[in-house]
Amino acid sequence: MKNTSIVRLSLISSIVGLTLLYMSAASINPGVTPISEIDENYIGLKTKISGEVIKTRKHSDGHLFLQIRGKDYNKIRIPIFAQTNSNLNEKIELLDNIEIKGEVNEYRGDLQVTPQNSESIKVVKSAPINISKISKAQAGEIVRVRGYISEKNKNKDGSYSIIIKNDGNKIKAHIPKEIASSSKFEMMRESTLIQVGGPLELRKGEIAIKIRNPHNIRFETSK
Amino acid sequence: MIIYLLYSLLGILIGSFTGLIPGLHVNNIAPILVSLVSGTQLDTYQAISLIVAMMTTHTFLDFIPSTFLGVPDKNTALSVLPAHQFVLEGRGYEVIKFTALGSLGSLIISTVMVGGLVHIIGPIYKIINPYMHLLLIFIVAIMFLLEDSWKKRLISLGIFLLAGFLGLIVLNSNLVPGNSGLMPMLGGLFGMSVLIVSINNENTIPQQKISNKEIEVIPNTKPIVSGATAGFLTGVIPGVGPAQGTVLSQVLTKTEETKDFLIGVSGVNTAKALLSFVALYAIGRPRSGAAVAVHNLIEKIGLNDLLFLIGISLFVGGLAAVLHLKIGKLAAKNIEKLPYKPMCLAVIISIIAFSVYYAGLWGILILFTSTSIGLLPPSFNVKRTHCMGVLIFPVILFFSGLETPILKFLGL
Repeated sequence: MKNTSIVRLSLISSIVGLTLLYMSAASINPGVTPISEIDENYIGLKTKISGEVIKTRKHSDGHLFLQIRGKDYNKIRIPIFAQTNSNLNEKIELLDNIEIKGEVNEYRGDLQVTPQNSESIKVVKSAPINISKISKAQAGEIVRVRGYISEKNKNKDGSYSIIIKNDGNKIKAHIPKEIASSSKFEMMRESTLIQVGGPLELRKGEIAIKIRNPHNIRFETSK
Repeated sequence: MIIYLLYSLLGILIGSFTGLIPGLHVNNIAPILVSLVSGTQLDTYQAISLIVAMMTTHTFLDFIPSTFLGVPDKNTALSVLPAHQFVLEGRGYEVIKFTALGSLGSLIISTVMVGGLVHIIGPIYKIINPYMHLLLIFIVAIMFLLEDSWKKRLISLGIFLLAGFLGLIVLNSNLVPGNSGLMPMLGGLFGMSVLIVSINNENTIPQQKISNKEIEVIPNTKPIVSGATAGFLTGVIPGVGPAQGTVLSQVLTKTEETKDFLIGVSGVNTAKALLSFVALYAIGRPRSGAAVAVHNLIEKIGLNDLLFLIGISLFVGGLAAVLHLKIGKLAAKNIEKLPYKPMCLAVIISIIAFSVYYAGLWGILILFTSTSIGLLPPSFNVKRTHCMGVLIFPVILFFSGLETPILKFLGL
């Protein structure tokens, strides 16, 4: 075969092949997948999921690890690597609703969805709950509240208990020693406007928020 | 200790086998091996010994099939790959000796470089990371400018963009999971397209001269260093392939001979594997198939782990070089007696089979398209390395922040 024929044939084949691949790829772009449907068969595939943030953990290297819960109450892990995390316009907090487009992969036996960049993450901020609406029956649920620190007490084991007050209602928040010893905690003074999130727990018959990570504390303005 | 060496020997045995399978890249085997090992009772370091030994050996021996198979007809082919030029002159065994020297030499040079790199690789990565796309554009521009006319430079750009668009579609859509599309894409661009040209011609491989003349090490230090440097470049800059890394380091070290290219290019993957362990230790990012495999077994590697990995690599490197020479000699002695066309055909069938294994039926369409694009460089007499646009183009878009808007525009 002459060289010009090979060139023509190769060019035509390349363009036809690319067109077919493009058309096929565009037609199988995914919509939002329910978390309950994601299993081993999804590994390596790109998918879109949405849910409520129920756990956050910030790594010292800047990575943020989330656990989100879908409408179907199934949970999945979302690792957001440092660079992606630093490019996010908004801080992701407990109970925010997020939509993630990313690849499903397996990490130490668990499935996770890894967003490729900050543009693959859409955050819909949720408002903090009114303290007056919290009751003992909600123990175990995750809440986020906003208010002023009215008391700050150090416990014998090095942990702290703070009272958060808003519109005449108050709630206790428990801060474990390892978080209380962080430099961030030094900013916490009485009358500081604060937002905290975490699970509700019953302590000596009293309902309190357990703060599990410094990421779940946000300081706002002071009085 | 003995147990780790025994597992390394087993790894050498497996690596010799996989290295001799044409078209099978070392990065394709890593995930299979990790999943196989995780189903056994091996402890972490036994598994690492096995995997690192297997992958290091593979990077030595995979030059044997790529040297002797896919050789085009010297009278009709416009461009001939460097190793094939030697085979056509009956000097195939020299390629084996050059690649043994290049792989082992760059392994040793990389080991010497490790001490300094541990401290500088992290800061270098931090400095270049925001400018990675510009660096890649600069590298690609150099590759275009190395062509000898503006017409060829424009054609090279066209080939780069065609391959780049293929990479963008396959790696960013749900046609195939994750990186499964790499096998048919690279197999087509760099394997099938070479074999098709070769099988289409009525060529016979000339008898290969077996010279036992030793290759001197000192005069070849420059290409060995350029191979190790290229290993470092490809280990830090994502998307850059061995040939580009070698050409770049040749530009830097001002070495031009084909022999120097062969010594350099053979050391790239070996050096890359070793230096990627250093990158894994220093910046926590796996930059090669071997490093991905290790990262799956140890989350955060410490200095002791790094020394263990280097020790295993060196132990294996020495033995793999000897095996490479022995098996390469056997291949050179017998290649003209072997049924050449059926062998090339068998390789073509194996590439199709691997493509289907990794990427399902889509693998065939991807392979067809990548082979068509891979046929363009020899037809236009430009360098085949422009086909690396398949990886570099998506990486440039990713680092420049253009990937998401472009994918959205394309509806992907």
